[in-house]
Amino acid sequence: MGKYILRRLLGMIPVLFIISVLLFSLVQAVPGDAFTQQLNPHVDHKYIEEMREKFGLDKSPIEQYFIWLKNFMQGEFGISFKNKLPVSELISDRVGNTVFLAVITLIITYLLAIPIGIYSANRPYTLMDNTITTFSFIGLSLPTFFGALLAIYIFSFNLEWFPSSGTMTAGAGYTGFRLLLDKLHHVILPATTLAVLSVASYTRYIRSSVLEAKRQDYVRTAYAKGLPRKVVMRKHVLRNALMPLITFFGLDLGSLFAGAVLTETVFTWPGLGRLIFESTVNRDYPVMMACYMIIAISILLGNLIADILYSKADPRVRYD
Amino acid sequence: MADTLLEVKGLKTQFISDKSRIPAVDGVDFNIHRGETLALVGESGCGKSITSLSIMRLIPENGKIVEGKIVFEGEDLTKKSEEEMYHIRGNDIAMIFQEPMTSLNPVLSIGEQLTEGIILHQKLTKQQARSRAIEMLKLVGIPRAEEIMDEYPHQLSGGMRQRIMIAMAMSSNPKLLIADEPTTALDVTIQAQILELMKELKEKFDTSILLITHDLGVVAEMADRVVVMYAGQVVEEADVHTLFEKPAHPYTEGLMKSVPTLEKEQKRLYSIRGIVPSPDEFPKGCRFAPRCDQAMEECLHAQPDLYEIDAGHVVRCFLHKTKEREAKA
Ligand SMILES: Nc1ncnc2c1ncn2[C@@H]1O[C@H](COP(=O)(O)OP(=O)(O)OP(=O)(O)O)[C@@H](O)[C@H]1O
Ligand code: SF4
Ligand SMILES: [Mg+2]
Repeated sequence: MGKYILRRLLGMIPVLFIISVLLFSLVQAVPGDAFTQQLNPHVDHKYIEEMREKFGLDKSPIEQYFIWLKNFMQGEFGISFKNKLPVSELISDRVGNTVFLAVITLIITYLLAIPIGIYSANRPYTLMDNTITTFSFIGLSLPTFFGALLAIYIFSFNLEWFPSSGTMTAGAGYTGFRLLLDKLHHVILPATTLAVLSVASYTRYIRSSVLEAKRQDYVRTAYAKGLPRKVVMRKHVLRNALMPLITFFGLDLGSLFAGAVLTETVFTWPGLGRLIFESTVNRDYPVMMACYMIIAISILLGNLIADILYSKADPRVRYD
Repeated sequence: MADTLLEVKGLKTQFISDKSRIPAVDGVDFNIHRGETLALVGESGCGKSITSLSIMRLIPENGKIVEGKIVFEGEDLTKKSEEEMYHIRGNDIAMIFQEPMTSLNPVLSIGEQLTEGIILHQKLTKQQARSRAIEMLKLVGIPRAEEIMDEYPHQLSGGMRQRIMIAMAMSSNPKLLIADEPTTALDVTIQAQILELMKELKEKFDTSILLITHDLGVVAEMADRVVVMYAGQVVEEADVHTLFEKPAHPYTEGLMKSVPTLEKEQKRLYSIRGIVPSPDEFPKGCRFAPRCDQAMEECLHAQPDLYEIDAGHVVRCFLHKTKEREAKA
């Protein structure tokens, strides 16, 4: 197992290298650079040239890439063009918020999708199942930003149940448990908005997976033993039906850091998603590259974790 | 008269949907005596599995027992609640299936799957159940029984898995074992071993067996009595010798003739012409009439009853209606 993990980790290096080249090329392909926008009559032309030189933008793209690569491998993510702060500082300010939002979203997703999916599978084609199916498709086809705006309109402006922006009440100076409650109060709305989409697809998936498992021969064997329905469901049906969720969980873990660009923007949630949005608008490529690389790494690691967990859950899968 | 363990009477099981009712089992009667092996034979789709699953009350969700009785040790199983069935399934009546490859749960260890039933029915501790399971594995001829307990189904061959299914079924010492084509999916040599094992265990535990098969070789090897099914009904019932020596129903005769033998020189293997009608389009008269070489005018209009032509030998065919009268007279 240890060997397998090491092999997989080593295998990530060329993948990440290729990703970084592609990302860098994409960033470079956009005409202009971070300072193009600052071209206005009031800014001294000389100053901009100086800045370009200072940040290495006067060098050839290939040279720039290798300088970036060398620094990146030393854990040095560079300085933001925009606000002249170290990229690592910008990211570490934001990452906690993004992970908090993502974890709450995941919890809401699983807490809703698993029971609803199982409920549907146990009563296929009944009125309730069909209703759930209909709502799933609505959930799936609702654009995130529209859902987010709708949620703000209803739950913030009209009902005033939840705040529409921020991660905590500014200036309230809460600490400890009170602070946690305040943060939860702020996170519920964006997290639920994000969860709606995945709840819909997870529910569909779990429903069909459970229906499929119920038809298996070994389930009939379990009933033939005299096991009560509940035990058969828990031990034989659900265990097999929910196992593929491990793979999804790995993907979700990977996207923990990706942030939700649209949702974070609509809810003015200071996370990585918003940082990506801002840095892209500003062509702040050290920030962009760092964010994208973090996403790539966490997706690859999420996949690896999923594979490891899967091999623990399913005796037919063994890595050595 | 031998002691009756199970009596199936006028059993009708149907699959019901908005548009149709499929009479998969359409009025089946038979008895199983204590310690006897009854074979249930017939072509694919004639309702053998649905009959046996009806006894276990495990028919698929869209199916329903609409008529008849299943009397086991004096009690009608069709009247039992689901909770009462939990105590009967796997305890008094156990079942093994055709597909040993898929009948075991791939993600649970053999030990777990063996002990869950033992713990349930025999109220043993985990440790005691484990010893009992190992004892059963040894009994069904599994080498390295202790190690196998911690292995998973995919690590074992089909024959081994079927042995495990048998160990599982016999572990609570059932009075009736239902075996639905237990050897069909196995190699010939393994088949013989599994049949031998079932015979041994049957003697040892004095279990009755309802053996479902379409292999007449297996019937000859195992059965005391035979029930032949066709299109959801019993068409002939007799003890195994009578059935092989004097098959009375044209369908049974056809089945006998389609078995290859070494004695008679056969140019071409016989097969009954036509195909089994599906339950939604059973013929109006005798259900076998479209395929029967001896069909008469009345066969097309009326359904024959079961006529007892000899003690314990019943036939559903107009050709034997008169014989019954003679026998009675
Ligand atoms: N779930 C179901 N829904 C509808 N019809 C079914 C269902 N299961 C079985 N049937 C029908 O019931 C009839 C009897 O099926 P059954 O499985 O008892 O046949 P069988 O004699 O065991 O055949 P085989 O030798 O192929 O196992 C078949 O015609 C089949 O089409
Ligand atoms: S009743 Fe008629 S059709 Fe049916 S089996 Fe007998 S002879 Fe053939
Ligand atoms: Mg069958």
